[in-house]
Amino acid sequence: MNSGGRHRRAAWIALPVALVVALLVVVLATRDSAFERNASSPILGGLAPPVVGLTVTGEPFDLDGWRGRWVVVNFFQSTCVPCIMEHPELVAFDERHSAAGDARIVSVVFDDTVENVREFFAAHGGDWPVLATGAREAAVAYGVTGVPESYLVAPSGVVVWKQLGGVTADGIDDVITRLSAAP
Amino acid sequence: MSWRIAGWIAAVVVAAAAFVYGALDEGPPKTNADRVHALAEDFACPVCAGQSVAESDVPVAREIRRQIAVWVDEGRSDAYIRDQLVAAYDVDIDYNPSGSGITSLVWILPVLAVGGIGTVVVVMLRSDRRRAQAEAVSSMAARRRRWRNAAVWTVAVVVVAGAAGLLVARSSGSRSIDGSITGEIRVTSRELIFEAQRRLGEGDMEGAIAAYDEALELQPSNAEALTYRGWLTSRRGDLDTAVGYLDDAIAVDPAYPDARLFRAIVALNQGDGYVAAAELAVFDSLDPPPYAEELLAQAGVRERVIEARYAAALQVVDGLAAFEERPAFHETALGVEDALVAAEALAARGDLLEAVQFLDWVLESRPSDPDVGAGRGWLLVRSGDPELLALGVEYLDAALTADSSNARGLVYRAFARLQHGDTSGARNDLSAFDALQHQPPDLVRLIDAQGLRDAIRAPANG
Repeated sequence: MNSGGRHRRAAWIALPVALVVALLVVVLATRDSAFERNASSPILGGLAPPVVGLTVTGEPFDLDGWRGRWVVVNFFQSTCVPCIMEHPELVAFDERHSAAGDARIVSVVFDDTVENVREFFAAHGGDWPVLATGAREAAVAYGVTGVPESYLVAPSGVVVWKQLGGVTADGIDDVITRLSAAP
Repeated sequence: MSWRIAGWIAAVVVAAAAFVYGALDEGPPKTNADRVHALAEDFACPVCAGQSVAESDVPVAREIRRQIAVWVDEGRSDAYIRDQLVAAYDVDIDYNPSGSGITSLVWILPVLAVGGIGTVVVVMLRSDRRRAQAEAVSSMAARRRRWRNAAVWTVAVVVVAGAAGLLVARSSGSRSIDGSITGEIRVTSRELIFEAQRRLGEGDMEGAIAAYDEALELQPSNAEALTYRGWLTSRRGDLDTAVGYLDDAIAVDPAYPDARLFRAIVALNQGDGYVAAAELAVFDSLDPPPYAEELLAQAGVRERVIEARYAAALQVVDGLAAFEERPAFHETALGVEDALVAAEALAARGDLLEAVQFLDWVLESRPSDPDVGAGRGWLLVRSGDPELLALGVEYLDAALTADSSNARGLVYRAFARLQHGDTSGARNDLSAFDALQHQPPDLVRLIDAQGLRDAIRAPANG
């Protein structure tokens, strides 16, 4: 076979390979970056996954029972420093809304013991349900990757906001105000 | 070589290959434990670089593994588990992306590439063959073509039959949900646990461990099997491994008293009085069955926990500087509970005065803490001195003024009032304690051990 034929054959084989490589580059280049994906969540915009179980005080809890209110679903651990730093903000948020009852907090224990959590709340205050049993199911259903991590559930039951790291009372209220004003 | 001989050779090769493959290949997961591990390997740890959920030991990976085990034990399909995790963590968690949407390109593009290259090669070979056919006229060429046909057919038989043989080898022995054609799990994890208990009763610890292992192969999230596997492991002396089993059992079922009890005992054996005390407190709050209480008493767990906590507390106190040079309580790492245990430890050692001084030091930083005030009052009440008793009651009154539902204050003052002859007041305090939503088990035991209820009832009956 002459060299012209070999070159033509090589070109024909290289063409589909180049096409595939180009397509892969396009696919990979147009995906969200890892950081952007981390800040978002596939559960945003959908109905809130169940948060059901017994609290650390032995009371039954079901998130669906709070439909009609804003709910902060807060995943935390008693020994994590950002959780300890965030806690006064949650207490402030709870105190701000406890009278009107328009917004509530439910905390979900993540990789921690009930007794640690009881001590944590006794020491740092806070009087809202803290889910003990069913906590792992909830954490996996919400796609929790670390603590603290919080989700805001609208009165309609839809997850509308996610926060990686600590929240502030003003920050949550800003989100609620903004979303309440949205058409 | 005739066609018939070639066919027989092909059949023998296929049979031998299938047997060898079936014997050597592990095939699909045969037990639930295998399935949990296989699934965990299929998902990326959401916060690690390049590690699967099976490999990583960060908390989120542990939680996902445990949840996969629960789903598998519930009989959920692989597709269900995949859907749940992808719905929560997005498609990036899945090492085997689905064949729909944009991710399908991952599967389609390589096929397109191979197809495209193959087409190009075939077209070129055909043009070469046409040229060669025009040149080939001899009978030798025809004979060669026959041999080539025979070879092609033989290879085709080997390939098709071999693929069929491999499929059979892979599926034989596998058990899947509703897959009755491939067999069924005839032994349940419950039966294996009974078997383990029987063997344990016969003193066959290794046999019991083997039976618990089999139960965990079938049902990795079985809290009972995890608990007793951990307990037997601790009796072998391997405490670290035992803790792993027991922590998994507690994660699966936080309200299983046996797991809490054994975890407390293992913590004691590791010299960790704080963990033991915490586990014992949970155990007490679970309304444990009588056999567990008996086991607890036989092992002297309560006494050992108190001893361990006292020893640890005394070590902390002895490590502090003298009172006059000591930093303020709130500047130390001690908590109120630590301080109360330390005071009790000092009193138990006979250093009542030092115990009182110690709580005074705490009160300087926490002057209105009802628990500390009640603890100080209780030390004085138990002194036996009438003046100190009256002073103790003052402290208890102050503690209950700060928090009228303080459990310690109510119980301690009931004892103090009874000592004072104030039965009615003691009864009121005890009633208030009974009306609390949560009665700390240590106080309930104190009331029972000291016969407070009988003592209060006695004058009324008499």
